[in-house]
Amino acid sequence: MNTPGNPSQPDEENIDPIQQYVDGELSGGELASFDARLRSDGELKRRVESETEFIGAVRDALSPEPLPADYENEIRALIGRHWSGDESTAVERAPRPAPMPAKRSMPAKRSASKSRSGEARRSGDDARRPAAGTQRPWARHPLSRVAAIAATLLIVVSAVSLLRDDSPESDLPWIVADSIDVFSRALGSPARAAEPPLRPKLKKCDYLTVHCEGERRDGKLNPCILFKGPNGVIGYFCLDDRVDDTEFFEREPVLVERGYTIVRCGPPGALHIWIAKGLTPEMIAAMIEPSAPADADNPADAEIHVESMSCAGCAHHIARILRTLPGVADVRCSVEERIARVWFDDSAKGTTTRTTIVDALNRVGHIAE
Amino acid sequence: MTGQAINRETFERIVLENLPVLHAYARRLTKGRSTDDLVQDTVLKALRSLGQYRAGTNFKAWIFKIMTNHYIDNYRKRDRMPSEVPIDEVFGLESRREPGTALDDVATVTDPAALARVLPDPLLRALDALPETHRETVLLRDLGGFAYKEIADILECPIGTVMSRLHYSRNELKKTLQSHARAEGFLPESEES
Repeated sequence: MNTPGNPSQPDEENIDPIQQYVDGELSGGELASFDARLRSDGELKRRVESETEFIGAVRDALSPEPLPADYENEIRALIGRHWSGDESTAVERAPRPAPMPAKRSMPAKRSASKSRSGEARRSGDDARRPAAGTQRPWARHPLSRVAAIAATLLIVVSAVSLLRDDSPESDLPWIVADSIDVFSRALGSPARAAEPPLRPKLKKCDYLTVHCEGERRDGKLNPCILFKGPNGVIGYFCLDDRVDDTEFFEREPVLVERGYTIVRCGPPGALHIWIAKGLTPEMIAAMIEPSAPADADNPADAEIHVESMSCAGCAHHIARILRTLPGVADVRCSVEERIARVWFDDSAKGTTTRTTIVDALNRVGHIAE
Repeated sequence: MTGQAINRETFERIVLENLPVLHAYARRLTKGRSTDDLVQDTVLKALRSLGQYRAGTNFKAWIFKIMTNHYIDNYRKRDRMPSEVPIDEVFGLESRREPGTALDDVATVTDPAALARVLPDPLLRALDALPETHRETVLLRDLGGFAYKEIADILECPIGTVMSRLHYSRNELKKTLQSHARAEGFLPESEES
């Protein structure tokens, strides 16, 4: 008999020939000998049949249940996210050197500057974090790796503080990665749009708004993804991938089916879409920096042309920067005119001038004049 | 040879082919507590370790070994809790006494194989109650379908230990089924297996 106190120790009796026979582990002479015994020994035959049936029942009880239909897609997407793109594997290989980019790196700067404060608070679950070295379209941008890491840090740190009890911290990298997938598919090639749907965990991202913006240049779209919480912009991803996107608007229903609300589109020639999950258009509209045209009754003290203000996200960022300056009472931005209008506090007039505003904006990467 | 001869399509295909079994193995290892996490961690770890995969060797055994080791390193301690069985489940067999089911005849049955057929839930609970090394061995054999030698490689133990663990585990499962059937009144007190 085996010894219950120490069952790991093999002994002669534990190495049961019946078990080996049923498991198909006998071969050659052992098998021939056992078969001969089996033919002549009725008791042995009965025990073999019983053992065969028992092991069969164990295997039946253990047999895998069918997996949910989208589970394979989740795993496929996971592999896709973390595969290097190089057919010869080497998953954690650094991205290939990229050509110099077009002049459009402002969002990356923004992310990088924000990340410095958030870096120390980075929370860890590397396995669930989008890999920095994966070969996504935006990974070819020379600043993309820095921007991607910075934005991820920023998103995780900010979203943790935003979501707190609403979503487990460990889910946040998934949310980020999946949000990126949504938009890379939505903005990318039709082939990419046909990839598997999102994993259901995205629904935990009810309070994370994603803003997708892009400009058409020479008939091609230059997209950028922005993550925004109720308290402001929390991260950027730039897709330095010029993609043809003539069918984007026809693909909008795909996003709607996935539970996103498209808040607004336009203007023509550029792509400015606010998309949110779990929020009504009204709630999101309240979060967007109001686009303020000139007001004849209350003229601004200063009007700054900001060439780089291409979307509501930029306007929000610019307004936030300017509101931190001493003496600034109010700021309204017009994306359509690319103008920031500033009202000074009467008591503090003169402490901030048009020149200091322009300098402040240029310092953070905007192109103001 | 530490080849790099596996491309994404091949990797994805093999993983997806084995996904139901991997998932079931993870579920039984973790007792359902962290199944998805363990599967995803395993796939990621396999991706990161592809450079160590030797071309031409058994990929299924390789990824099962990754899962087993990852479970041992990261989950086993965390998931180690007293085995709990809800009292309703233990005594819930009454509700399964339906005419025409094999359970009606179980009082006359002494064969553990027949018991295993009609008592799959107690069988699985008995499996969960096995020592972890034994549970892993049974799962690799009866769920994963691995040969003794492959199990020995995955668990990094002698092949004799694999056979011993299987023998011990299966006997324990049979005993548990018998005692469970007896406790429920499906077998006479004096009935021996």
